[in-house]
Amino acid sequence: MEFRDLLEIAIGGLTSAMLLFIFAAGLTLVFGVLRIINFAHGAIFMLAAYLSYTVTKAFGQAGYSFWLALIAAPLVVTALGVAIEIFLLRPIYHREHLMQLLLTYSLVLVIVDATKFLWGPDPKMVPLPSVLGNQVMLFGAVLSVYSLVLIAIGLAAMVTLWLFLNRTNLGHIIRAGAFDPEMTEVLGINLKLVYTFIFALGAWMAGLAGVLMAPLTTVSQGMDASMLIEAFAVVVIGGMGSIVGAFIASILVGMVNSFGLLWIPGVAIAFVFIVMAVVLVVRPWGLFGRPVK
Amino acid sequence: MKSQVKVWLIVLLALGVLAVLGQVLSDFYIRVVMEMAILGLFAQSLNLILGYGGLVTFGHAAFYGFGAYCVAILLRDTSLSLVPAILAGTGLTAIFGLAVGAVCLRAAKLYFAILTLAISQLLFVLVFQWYGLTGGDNGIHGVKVSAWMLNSRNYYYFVIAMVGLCFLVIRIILNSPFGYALRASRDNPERVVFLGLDVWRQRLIAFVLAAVFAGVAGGLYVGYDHMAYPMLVHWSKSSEPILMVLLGGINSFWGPLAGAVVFVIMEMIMGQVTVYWLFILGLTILVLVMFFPKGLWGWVEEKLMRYFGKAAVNAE
Repeated sequence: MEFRDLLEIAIGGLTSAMLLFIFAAGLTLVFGVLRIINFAHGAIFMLAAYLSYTVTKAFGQAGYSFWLALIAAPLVVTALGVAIEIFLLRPIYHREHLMQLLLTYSLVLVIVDATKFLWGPDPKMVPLPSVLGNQVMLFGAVLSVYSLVLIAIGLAAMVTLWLFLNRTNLGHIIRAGAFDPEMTEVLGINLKLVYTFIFALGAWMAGLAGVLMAPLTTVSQGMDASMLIEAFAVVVIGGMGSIVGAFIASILVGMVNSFGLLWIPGVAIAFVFIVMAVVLVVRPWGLFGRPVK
Repeated sequence: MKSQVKVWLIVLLALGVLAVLGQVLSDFYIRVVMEMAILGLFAQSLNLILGYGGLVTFGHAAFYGFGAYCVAILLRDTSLSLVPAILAGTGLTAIFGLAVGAVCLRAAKLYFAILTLAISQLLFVLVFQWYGLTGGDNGIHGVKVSAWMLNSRNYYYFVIAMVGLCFLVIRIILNSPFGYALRASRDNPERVVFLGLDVWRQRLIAFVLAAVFAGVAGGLYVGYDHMAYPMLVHWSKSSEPILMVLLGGINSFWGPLAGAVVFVIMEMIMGQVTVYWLFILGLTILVLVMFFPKGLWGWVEEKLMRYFGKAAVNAE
């Protein structure tokens, strides 16, 4: 195998890794602050992908239709996220974990079937704008511009999130709220609003990942589950609640998936699970996580 | 003690009624009752870890489907008849459950929930793509079964007997010292450790037992439908016993069975009205979680208690 083949595979792996990171970062953020596993994260992601199909279809002739979808679809699912947090999650924060898990789980069933009802069972195609559809040569390898753009977006998301959480006032409040909710509230901070904000941010990131993913594959039933499962692997490997962990683990999972396809097509995901099992045996709380009870 | 006797009298009576029903009901309703019994066992197996063990798993269908596929493959590829196939399938499910449990139980609460879901989905992918062994997305159809089983009345009595036996065994397990240690591990793990018991081991045993009974239910399903298909392992299949347990009330022994009965009736009615069955399922779970956290029966019980001002009989 030549260098340019390796480069193409690596860039492919990195592309899916960055999408996975944008998705998983939302999941891990919600978990870190709200202590809730949002099973519906995948369903929200899929919903945004379907919405981007509808938007690009409605404005198909216009060159800006994809960009419009990129802005509009995540905003719609963010609104949905806000509604879910305020009307469904808020009343049950004080209950045992089981109830919160069951609630987000029930939302998966509802949202998934709703997308099937609205868009039908057939896969949908979302076209790329021509600017992004081009290819470039790099060290003899043929790479798509869209891949490189996605990698840039992923890196930007990581940097922005890190700066936001570590260098801004709101970021400090969020981290304080995750660390010790009671003490933070005693200091006069309205954590309710913080929770709504974080859940909305999580939904927005899922939506963003959904729209960015749509042109790479077809938008179809089941895309939510496969993304969610990979994100779970990321979160378990990286440590729940850790953004840096999610970033490193996403790259790991993306690469393992990409190179695993070379050896055993179809069940490359099995390799990811082997990595996950090893991490669990060595560090049950993940590479960058803290031990939780 | 007296209430125990009463319970068993009711059970005997119910078995008598079921025996009579086997003669009276039409073939269609015979199959409905069989489905209730099989799903009731599936739900009860989940209740072992969810209700009594306090461990939230979203991948229980993995064991139901694993048991079903084992039996279907054994019936297809070997000359075993159903009963030995179910026994062998159950043994294999136990080993599978032990491996999965040993990995998943290393993780704390929320991680555990994630891992069980992830592993069940991994199994789904394997089943879906391993055409040589599992038939891939086609599944395994028309497995050969003995002549006696083709008569649904005969199979009905077999299913009732098997499910009844499993319920008896589960009851005995739950009333054994292990059963109480398991409940204690759920309610106060620190104290259980202090008493010199190994919480992890209690949970692992419960997890394997739950896998075993789910495997039996899966095996019985193959005898009932004469096939196995990937949806039996899918994560949405795991939501069904969760709903049944929720419907019946999470901390009760008979709740899951009652939940299964209600579930099958719901499915029968809804199946005629709409194809968006998962939507209904999700909405029902949502409403139960928001408004009836103790299950429908628990809710009725609470109302009755308030009305009569008496302590509940159910102390589980």
